[in-house]
Amino acid sequence: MSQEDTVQRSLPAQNWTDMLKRWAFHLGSLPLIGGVGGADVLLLLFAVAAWLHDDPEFFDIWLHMAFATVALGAFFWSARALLWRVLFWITASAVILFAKTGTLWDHALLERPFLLLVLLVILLFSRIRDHHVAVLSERTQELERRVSELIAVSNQLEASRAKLQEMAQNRADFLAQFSHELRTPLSAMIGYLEYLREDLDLQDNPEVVEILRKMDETGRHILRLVDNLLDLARIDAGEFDLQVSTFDVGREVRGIVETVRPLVARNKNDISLRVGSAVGEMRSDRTKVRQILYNLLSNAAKFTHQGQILVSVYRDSPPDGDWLIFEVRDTGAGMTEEELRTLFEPFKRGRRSRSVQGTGLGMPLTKRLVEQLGGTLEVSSQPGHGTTFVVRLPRQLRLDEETATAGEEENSAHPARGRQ
Amino acid sequence: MPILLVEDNEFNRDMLSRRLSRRGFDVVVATDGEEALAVVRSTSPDLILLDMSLPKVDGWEVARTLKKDPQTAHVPIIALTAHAMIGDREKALAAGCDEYESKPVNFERLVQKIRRLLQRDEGIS
Repeated sequence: MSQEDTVQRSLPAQNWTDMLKRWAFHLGSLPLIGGVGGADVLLLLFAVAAWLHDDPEFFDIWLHMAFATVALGAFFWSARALLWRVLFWITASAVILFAKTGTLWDHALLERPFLLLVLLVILLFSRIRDHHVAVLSERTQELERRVSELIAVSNQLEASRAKLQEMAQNRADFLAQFSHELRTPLSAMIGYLEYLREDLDLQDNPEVVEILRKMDETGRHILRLVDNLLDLARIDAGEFDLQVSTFDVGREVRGIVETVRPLVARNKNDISLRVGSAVGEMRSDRTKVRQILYNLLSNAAKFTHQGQILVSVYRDSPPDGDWLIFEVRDTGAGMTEEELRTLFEPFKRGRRSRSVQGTGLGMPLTKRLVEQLGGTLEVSSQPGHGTTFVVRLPRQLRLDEETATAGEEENSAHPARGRQ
Repeated sequence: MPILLVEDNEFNRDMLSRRLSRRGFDVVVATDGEEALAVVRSTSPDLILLDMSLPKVDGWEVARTLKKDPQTAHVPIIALTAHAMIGDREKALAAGCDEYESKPVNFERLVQKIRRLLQRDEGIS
């Protein structure tokens, strides 16, 4: 009893045609849920239902439901799948209509060209969409392929970068060790030579004195070579050991000019110095600034004979910076374009400079030192017309965090590290 | 009263002791940190020339040990390091060394430093 009541309440009085129409509507949305297989079953069911009903009104209902299914399916199916179903539907409708009524033109459905037009448009859009989807998926695949290629290349690069860094580190370590091994016997040798040169018994023999002096000079040359090589390797391996302090630029430059004076006099050169009034103090690595200027001045002294060396220091403070310019101008041999090009490469000294004693590392090292101090080194020269070096250094050296930490470490935490 | 020269390299040790002897200094030698500490206790030198990279006990450790001991704290130490670096000077002074020279040594400057430290020592005692 109660069960019947429930049925009565949930399904109020209605004829079975309405019920069927409602179910057909529910079924019509099945392709949304069931996909292609569900829709095919549905279309078949519609055809069977249309076949079983003799009432022409039902043809209309079933065939409209089939049309709705196909139209909905157009959103999901490929053009080919859609075409097959449209063909099936038209054929099924035609067969059913012909079997039931004996003619294809009696029925309202096929008399509506508009419906066919809509179908055609749906097909067309579906086709266009398919094309775009295909192109898109092709491009996506291409992109994915390229991305995976890029990832592979990037991994390779990362691996080689790590390996190169390790190699540079190993090289720097090796050179540091090697330099130490070389310096120790060299120190002894130079010491013994000095000991002999002080020996009063030998002073009467000028030839021996001269030979000892030359041996001493040679020993010190090797020492300079070893030191420059070590400095270069350390900078190339990215080992910073900047010791920043504030110092008087004029006094420093005058000191270096005094240091190189004997070297300048050897080739009968004159040296003059001009320091701009606004130069004042600078905050940088004093030893490295000294090293840069010493290298440039001794270079000018070596390659100039009976000429002039002019050193000028001035300040350039445009709104966006504060720079000190160190200019070293000589009237010496000058350099060809070829020589200028290889000037900053290690062991590529100019052909004509072979006769001049030097390490072949001075200029490459100088350039790297300038860069380490955040500056630039420019050179202009013409054979026979002298050479001008222009160093531009920031007046206040700012250390980024990494460099500053490295500097501090060098200072305190690792007494065993550094050049030994 | 002797000067103690601590240096592990045979030729540098020989060379420096010859040169110092010729300048009238009485030189005793040690080849490593352990020996240096032993020699300091047995001969109580006036001054120590201390190489910093030594086998067994390194120079920094030797300097710290000697400066901690009241018996030896007054003995002046000149540190000898392999390569001139600004940081080395501070490190040597922090370890208790009184002076610092980088190798290869400028011998005249070294002799001046030795004389000054010996005079200072005499002045105190």
